[in-house]
Amino acid sequence: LTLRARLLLTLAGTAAIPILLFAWAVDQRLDRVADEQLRRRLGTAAASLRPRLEASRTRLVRPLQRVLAALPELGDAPTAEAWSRLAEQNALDALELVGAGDTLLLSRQWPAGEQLRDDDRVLDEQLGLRLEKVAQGHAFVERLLLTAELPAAFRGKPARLRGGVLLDEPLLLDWSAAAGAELAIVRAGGEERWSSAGSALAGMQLPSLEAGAGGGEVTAGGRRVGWAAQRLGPQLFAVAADAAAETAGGLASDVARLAMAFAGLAALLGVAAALLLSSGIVRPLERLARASQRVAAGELSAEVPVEGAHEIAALGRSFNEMVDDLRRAQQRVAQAGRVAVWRDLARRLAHELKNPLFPIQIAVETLRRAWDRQGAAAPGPEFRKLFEELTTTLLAELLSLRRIVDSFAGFARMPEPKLEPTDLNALVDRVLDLHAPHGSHVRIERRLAPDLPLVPADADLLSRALGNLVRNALEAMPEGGVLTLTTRSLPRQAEIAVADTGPGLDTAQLFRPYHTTKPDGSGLGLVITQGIVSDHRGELDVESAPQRGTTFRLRLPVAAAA
Amino acid sequence: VRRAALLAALLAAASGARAALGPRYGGELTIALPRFGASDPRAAHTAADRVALGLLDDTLVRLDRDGAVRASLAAGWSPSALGREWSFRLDGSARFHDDSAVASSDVAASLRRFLKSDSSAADALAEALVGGSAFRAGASADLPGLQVTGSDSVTLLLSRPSASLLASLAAPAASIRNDGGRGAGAFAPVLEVPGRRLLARAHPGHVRGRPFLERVLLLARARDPLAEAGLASGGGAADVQALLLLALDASRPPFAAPELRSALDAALDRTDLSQRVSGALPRFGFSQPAPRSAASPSARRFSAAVPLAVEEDVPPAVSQRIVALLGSLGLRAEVRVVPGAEIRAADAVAKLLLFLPEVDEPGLLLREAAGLVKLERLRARVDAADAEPLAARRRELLREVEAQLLLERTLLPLAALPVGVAAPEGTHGLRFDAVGRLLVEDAWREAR
Repeated sequence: LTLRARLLLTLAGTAAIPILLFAWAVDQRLDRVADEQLRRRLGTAAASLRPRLEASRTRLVRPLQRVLAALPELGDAPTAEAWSRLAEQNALDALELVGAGDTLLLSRQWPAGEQLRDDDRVLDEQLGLRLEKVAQGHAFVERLLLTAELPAAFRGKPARLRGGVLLDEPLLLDWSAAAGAELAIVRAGGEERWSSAGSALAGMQLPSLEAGAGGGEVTAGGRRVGWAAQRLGPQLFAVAADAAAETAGGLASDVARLAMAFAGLAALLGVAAALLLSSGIVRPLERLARASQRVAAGELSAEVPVEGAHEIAALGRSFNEMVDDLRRAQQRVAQAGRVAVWRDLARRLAHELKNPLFPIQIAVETLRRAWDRQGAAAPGPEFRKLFEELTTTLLAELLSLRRIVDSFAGFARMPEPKLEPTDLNALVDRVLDLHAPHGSHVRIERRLAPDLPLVPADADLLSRALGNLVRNALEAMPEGGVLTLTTRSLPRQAEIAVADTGPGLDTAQLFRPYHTTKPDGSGLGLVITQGIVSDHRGELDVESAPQRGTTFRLRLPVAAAA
Repeated sequence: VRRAALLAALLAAASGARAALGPRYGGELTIALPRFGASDPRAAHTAADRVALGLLDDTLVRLDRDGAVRASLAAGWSPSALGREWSFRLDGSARFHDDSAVASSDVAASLRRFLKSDSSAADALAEALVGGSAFRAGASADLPGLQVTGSDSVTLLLSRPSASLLASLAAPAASIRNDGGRGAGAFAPVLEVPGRRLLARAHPGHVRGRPFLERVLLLARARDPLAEAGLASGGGAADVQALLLLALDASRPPFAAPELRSALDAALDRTDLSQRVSGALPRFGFSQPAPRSAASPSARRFSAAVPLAVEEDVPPAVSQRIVALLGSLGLRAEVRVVPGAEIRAADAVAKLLLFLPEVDEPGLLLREAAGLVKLERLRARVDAADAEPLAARRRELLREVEAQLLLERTLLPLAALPVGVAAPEGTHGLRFDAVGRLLVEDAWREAR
């Protein structure tokens, strides 16, 4: 993974994961609280069914008494319409008269069964719960009714008047609304159950209820539904169920959804932050990496842009300085190499020239002495004059040649500098003092930095190098001018600048040996100066502009670099 | 009880009484039916289907409700060879709805199609017709008993005399259509949305002349059309009796046990059932089962599940009572409601259906009834009665068949239900014929 990708992942994860963990914790807590509340509420609701059944059954007695009172008015053969009307007037869904042998004499809800044996199922005698046939379509459906009975007489024979109301609609529905949970009556085993239409209990898979009261949670239609059961009778249970767990689950889901949304948002913000950061961190690093590759390939001009002041900028600055150092070191090495080559060449040249030069000189001198010893016996005066002029010239040139050879030899034999902490300002003063007598025609200015650090240097060699520069400057201004010596502190370096206001010079060939603009110059002065600076691991630059003067800058490493 | 549970209500604006002025041409009659579907006369088992057929189709002869055979597309007929050869002369004025003349070739083709149908009348005709049985069974493509003897005459050759021949030819399934499927009824279809709506206009080429009404519109409505229209029974009402039957499959348990069929028959209180549907006691051709004042619950209890197919137009008061009676015997009815057009073919050990005889003629009725419960041995006896030339003897034979049919207790008549049409005031001349077709051709409406 790249640094950018790691940053993206880290920041997005850091932003989103805590939110998700928080949502998970909230979800767990909500579930626990909701489950506890649900269990309590469902238990209460289930326990409320039996008292409701008993109270409703008691309330059935009064309408049955009214029916009983109205029975004689119907005669021995009441019509189905009259019987149904009587039931309706007394708000009875079921109304039937049962004679001897359980023969159904009259029935509102299942008139097709009249004169036949009433074989409807009794679910619980004590509570009056019966499964009654109720006409529907071409047959019947069995509905759960809450019934009550009164003794009666019909056609002069004893009978039982039974009336009831449907439990599933609307009683269970109303009671469910009042209890805040869906109520159902369930037969032990759970296969048979009666609930209001559309109740979640209708299709729920309940565990065996044989053990009595209980409760739990099941999944119905993909939803979590809590339930609680209370025994109603030997084979019957009141069961309350509610999708309140669903509500809590819904709340938890809402929280989860919100958390997901926030986590997503946080992740996006994290990504955005990572992108911003990466532009501030990764991009400079990438630039740095690319610049490093260029440097590694030898391109020492590579630089990275440095913006701001933070660590990445400091790194960039350090990199640039390192490259700069590298470039300077390379220049120094090249310069030292060139100086070494030149020294070797000077040594060979001095050696090769010196050997024949001395015998020639001896020979010319011997010739002159011999000429002197012969006196007037020699040829005529014109020859004599010519002879003296020529030998004099020859000796003078030999002397000059000898001096040049000595210079070469001196350059070739330049000693290794003995580095000691040196005050460059004092060195400047000493050199200027030494050359002041030759510089009366120029104005000399000193701009010396007071806080210049000590520099490891060989004061003698450095005086010689600086003297060369001062002498050149003075000689460049025969008609007068300004010589300015400046010292200043640079990062890890100290600089001495020697500036003149002379006519300027061509800097292209300046540091090549034997290049001189002076009639009696050897062309080695600047080369020697450069050699001394190189031996000090320093640098020597020159700037020159025609008619504006020339400035030499001599930079030496301070103690740390030495 | 829905008086018009099966059939129709006639919707029209009531008008002032103009009956004294006599029939008049023009006007429109809208008939709302619970449903109708069969446009093929050979599949018209329900009364609702036959209303449409009464409009659009006609047969060679008609059978009035008093049993009298009337001319229709055949202007006349004459038997010869001791009743083994019957020549029919077509009415030259009869035209199909596409204005083509009713030709003897159309009659022959229609009768050939009729003989291939599942009609019991076709079965009776095939039994008597020379080569008819082989043709009906698909064993032979030839039908020597049916001959086109001229452009306007056909001749039927019988292997034996047949008392029900003319009644068979009056069956709805024997309607005459041409090769294009066009009928020759009093009204020609103008616009038909199958099963939903049928608009028909007066057919001027009808064999008995242009009907009085100009247009008749049949509408299918799921609910009780009478209650929906808010119409009261008025002038022009007509009705026929449909027989409410409980058909038991004696070849499969639990009704393979004769004692169970006897116990169920004994438990049926037909008087009570008739009262529940405001109907009458049932009868076949000749007799009525003995009524009981109260059900006779069987002391014996059976225990079985009984798949019971109930025709959707059976009044629930009856079907519920049957379910209760089965329950009192320990039989648990598993009710499946079946459309009238499918009830005869429904696979169930018990069927509760409304039986509107294809042709209300004793021999044909008994044949059709025996066919409902697949009593093949009774069919042979019906054939024998059909071949009997002496009317008194034939009636005696049919009584015996009927008694045997009832004794089998596989076809239990429960009640006779009136199938009525309630017409608004000012509508006259509506009637049913003996095949349960509503004849609108003579109906007319008083002028407003």
